[in-house]
Amino acid sequence: MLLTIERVALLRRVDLFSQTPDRVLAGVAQVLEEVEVPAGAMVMAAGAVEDWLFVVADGELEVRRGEHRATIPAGAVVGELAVLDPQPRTADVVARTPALLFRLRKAAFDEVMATRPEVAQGVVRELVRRLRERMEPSRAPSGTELPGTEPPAAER
Amino acid sequence: MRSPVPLLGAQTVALGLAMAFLVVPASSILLSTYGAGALPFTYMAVAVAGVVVSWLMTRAQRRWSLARVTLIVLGTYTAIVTAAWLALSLADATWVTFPLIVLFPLAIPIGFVLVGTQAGRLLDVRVMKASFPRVVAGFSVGFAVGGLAAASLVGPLGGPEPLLAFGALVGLCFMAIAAHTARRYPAELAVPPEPPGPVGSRGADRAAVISTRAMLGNRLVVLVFGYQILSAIVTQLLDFMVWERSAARYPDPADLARFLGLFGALINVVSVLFVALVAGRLLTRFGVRLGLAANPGGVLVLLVVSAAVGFVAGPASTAFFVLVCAQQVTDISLTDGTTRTSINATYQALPPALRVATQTRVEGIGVPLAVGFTGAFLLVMDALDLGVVTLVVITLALTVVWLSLARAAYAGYGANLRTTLTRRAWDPVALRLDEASRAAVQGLIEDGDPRDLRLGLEVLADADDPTLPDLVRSLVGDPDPARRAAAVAASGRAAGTGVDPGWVPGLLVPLLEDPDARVRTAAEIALAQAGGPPARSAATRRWADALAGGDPDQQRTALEGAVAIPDPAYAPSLVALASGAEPPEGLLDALAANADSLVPRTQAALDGTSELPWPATRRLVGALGTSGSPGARAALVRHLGGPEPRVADAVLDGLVAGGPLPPGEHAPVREAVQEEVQRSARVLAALAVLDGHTHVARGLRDEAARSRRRTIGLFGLLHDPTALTRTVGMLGVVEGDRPLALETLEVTVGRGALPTALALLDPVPDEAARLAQLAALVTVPQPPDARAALLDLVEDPDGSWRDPWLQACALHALAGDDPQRARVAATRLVGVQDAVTAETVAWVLGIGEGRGRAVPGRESPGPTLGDL
Repeated sequence: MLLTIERVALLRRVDLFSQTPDRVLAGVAQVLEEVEVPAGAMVMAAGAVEDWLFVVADGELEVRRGEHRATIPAGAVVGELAVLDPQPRTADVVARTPALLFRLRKAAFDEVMATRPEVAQGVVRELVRRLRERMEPSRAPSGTELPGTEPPAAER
Repeated sequence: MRSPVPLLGAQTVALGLAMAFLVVPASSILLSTYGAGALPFTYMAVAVAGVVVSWLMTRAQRRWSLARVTLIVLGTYTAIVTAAWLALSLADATWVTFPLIVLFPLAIPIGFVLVGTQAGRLLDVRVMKASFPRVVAGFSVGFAVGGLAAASLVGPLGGPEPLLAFGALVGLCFMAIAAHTARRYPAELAVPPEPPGPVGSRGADRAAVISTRAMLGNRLVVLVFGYQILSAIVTQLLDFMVWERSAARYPDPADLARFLGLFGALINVVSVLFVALVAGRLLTRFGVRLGLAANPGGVLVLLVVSAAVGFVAGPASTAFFVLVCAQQVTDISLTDGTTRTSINATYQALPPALRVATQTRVEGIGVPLAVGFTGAFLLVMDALDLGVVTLVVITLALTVVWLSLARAAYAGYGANLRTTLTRRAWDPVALRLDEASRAAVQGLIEDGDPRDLRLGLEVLADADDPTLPDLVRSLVGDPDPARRAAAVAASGRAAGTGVDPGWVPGLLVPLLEDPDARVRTAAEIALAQAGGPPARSAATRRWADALAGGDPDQQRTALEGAVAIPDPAYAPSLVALASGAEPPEGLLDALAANADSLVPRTQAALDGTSELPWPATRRLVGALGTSGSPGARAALVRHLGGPEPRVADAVLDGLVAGGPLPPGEHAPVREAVQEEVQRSARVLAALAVLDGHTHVARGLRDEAARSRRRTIGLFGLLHDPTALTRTVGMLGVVEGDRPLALETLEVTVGRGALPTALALLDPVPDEAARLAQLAALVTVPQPPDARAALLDLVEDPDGSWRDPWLQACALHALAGDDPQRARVAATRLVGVQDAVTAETVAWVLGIGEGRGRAVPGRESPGPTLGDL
């Protein structure tokens, strides 16, 4: 199990938390659950209603929706939209490699957002980035087609 | 597109050359022929001509393009100078020097207006601020070169008259440069102005008259006006003294022309050097206070010495002549270097509309009239046969008044600057119901949106409008429950303002059984507000019970009631609700409304004598801070510098949200500022040796950022937070706005606190420079090396850090640097309360579940999950 200090160092690499002071992240780090998954393990299943997000501390995940694939590298966050608005997952997320994940549940995330506006701003930035990528698929990072687990609006 | 700056600079050089070739021959001939006694008549003519020319220029700018106006003005100038030269050369018409001397003080500002207007259209603000001073300096260069050339040429040319031909030639060159500039930038310079507006534009003239009245009603405007007028008068008197003494000393026109040419060059060279090398530093260091006082102060000193020398050695002495010349050199150098910039800064303290009006009237009318007054005064002096030494004494007296106005203007500048910066775009005031707004209110009430209806009804309630009862009566039967609730809430608002609530109970009692919960709640509250003390007391008991109960609907009603009718009985239940994970809707408003009764519980939580969970404490602190209750805020101030960072931060955030504190509460805030100075200094001193230790360095930088945020908040409690926040934001802009931001910061926090504020808030210095600034304020312990710094953070021997997070990070880093020392330190920390520190201690000692993945060793720049 990682020390809190080491968890904080990993969390600072995530865009969502990059502007948050370490001592505040320490509080978040203490309520994280470490989850180790082997390669090929199902991390999130489509249709599941869950209220947590994962921070990919180490390894890679893959989002699968039909034929589309998207890679989630270390330092990224997956599932943060479900934390904001718990809805059934719309894609499977599978570990491409052995991975170490941090799970952050909704209650703790809500507390952080309420007390640290930087985190809320990070969420907004991430939402805007996702929206842009959907509107302009050519702007999506190479190797990804449909990042995130949200379906396009037309499919709802 | 090539920059227009060189062309503009060439124009100002040409302007300077033209002026040198105008004033040197004209003044030498005038003084030699008619004596200094003719000068006052020229000054009075300047006053009249100045007003006329200003009027003509305004009309011309409204009718013709800038390029055309420029060429017409330069053409007229060149024609006048040419005609004067011809008249002098062919007809020995020395009287033509009279209009030339009148032309000289008018041509300079007109020339700068033409160049300045071109610059305003061709350059953006950033380039303007960076380059325009260089453009202006071209005038001094041109005048210096022209003065030297004139002095050199007067001998070979056989006298000063031919110099006017050179002046006409320079005028033609000036026209050519201006024409070339207009050809290169036709879109900006050659486009005719928009046609004047219709008859309604008379309103603008009326507005201008009104603004003049408003202008003189502002104390700062009157002070600046007086300062500028006295500056113009003293400058003119000093100028007269130089010409009068030089005419007496050099009766030959050629000798006089030579002297005036050299003296003109000297003035401009000294002025350029002063502006380039000294003035900027003086203004940055001492600000507008020095900028306004330097000119009258410097001139005053020389006037005192001149008066003494004049009385002792006589006005014909060389020493007196040198001092008279030195007075003018000093005056012009300080005017160019400090006064102009400071006056422009002072204008910034005025609202924009007042600023433009003041500048226009001062420069367009005030200064010419001052020059005219000087002329009349000198005629009186001459009539009374009062000599130049007496004139020195009178000028000295005027300069004393000028200096007094400088001090008063600076005081007014500070007050106006704060007011102007803190003037908000809007201020929340009660909506007033007048005939004009009644139609708008009616529209709100008829609108289908319940929110608009609520707003309209609130306006009527606040205005005690007689139509409210009938309106409420018509709305209580509305099918829309939101509209019914809005009507009921307005009733309660009317009752709560102490208006006769006689009509409320009859209307609202039936609504206690309304099918909609919002309507029932609103009715219950409105009835309590309207029912007098017994009804209020009964409602309070009911709501206190509801708050303690578990029914969410009743709690919601009770919370709204607690806002409407605060009571100490709610306190225990409100605190219990604040302790929950998710506070019910309306709790925070209820806490703020009952802040006074929550003070004892909040203080106990902050003192650590109660077991209140942290979320509840934070909510209570926020409520007390924003409540507006002086007692509640005073209770928080004691905890500004508490040992626990999150508590201290929550207290500060709560207080800042409520605005500045009264002066009686400033002492603890100032102590807290000093603590931030100490803490920042320790942080930066540790960072200087710990930069390679990533976790610790990041924690220290977070602490430095936290200290900066706290300092902004603390100064915001002492002064105006709006002005302070804006000023601190402007400090980060290195060019342009930064000097004004520095000036504003000094005006806001005071000269004494400025070094502290800059050391903590200025974003420009790097860490080493900031540490040096802080070291000038406090004694900073400098750790000799990284190990000593880490040990200081871990062991905290004097309790000055009190930071578990930094302690944990330092222990983690020490384990990599010196495992042996780390184990010793960790042993002493066994049993520590902080969870992160305890975890790190266990890891260092290698016991329990605290073993982390990272192997104790040299700390790497990033996580080492891959290095297992």
